[in-house]
Amino acid sequence: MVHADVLTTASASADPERGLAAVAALRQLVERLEGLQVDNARDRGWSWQQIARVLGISRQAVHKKHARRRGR
Amino acid sequence: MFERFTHPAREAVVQAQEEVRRQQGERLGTEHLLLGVLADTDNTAAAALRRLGLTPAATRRRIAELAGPDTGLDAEALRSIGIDLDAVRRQAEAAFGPGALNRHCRGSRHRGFLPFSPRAKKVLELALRESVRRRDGHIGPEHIVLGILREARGLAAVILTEAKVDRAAFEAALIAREPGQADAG
Repeated sequence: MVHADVLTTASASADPERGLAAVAALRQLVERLEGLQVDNARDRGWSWQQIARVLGISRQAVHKKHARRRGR
Repeated sequence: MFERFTHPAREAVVQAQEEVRRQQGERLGTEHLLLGVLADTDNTAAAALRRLGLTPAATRRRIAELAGPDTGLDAEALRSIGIDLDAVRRQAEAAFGPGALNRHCRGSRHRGFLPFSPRAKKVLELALRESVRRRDGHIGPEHIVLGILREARGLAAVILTEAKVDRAAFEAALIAREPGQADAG
């Protein structure tokens, strides 16, 4: 989803203030999207294992991060 | 830098912070600085802007129109790396309903000083420079407005430009007083 050009620009931004702010904003956006997608997957009956596989992280990591927020 | 700020200028920054908190935002942009200046009915800069037709309510409305619903995400920073937050928000809402992108907002955790956007920082630097240029010896709300005008690219500058407020018009309005109005410091 993140185009290569975007990453190039982020890493190439000469002004640290702007470059770092962009990275921080991107990270926040990713967190929001992850929450949204994990919720949707769980609502559709996906297991934590299935979600973890697609996200490319361990089942424990995804569970630790999202299970409590979702109250299960 | 803040030590040179007059009481009304500090008040404008405090009001700008309040504005961000009310909107559950995470960082202070140029538009909040403009609203901060306008919030104080007593300062000369706000009086000048009012004379030029800018009211807090109309300005707030225009900011919402231009910036879209506040997601608490830094649209400006994302744009600098080629991400259109508006497009992302539209896609998220198309799939998951209105306000989808805000569902996982942690809310404003900040109780202390909120971070300034790079443009808002630049505006304050330019306010200082304006003060030096005019040999005023202090930074008042009027210097913040001049800083916004000189920075020229933030949301606040866009709104001022739309309202046909440029440096010349603003400086003229600062000097001119409404009939019978006392100098309000």
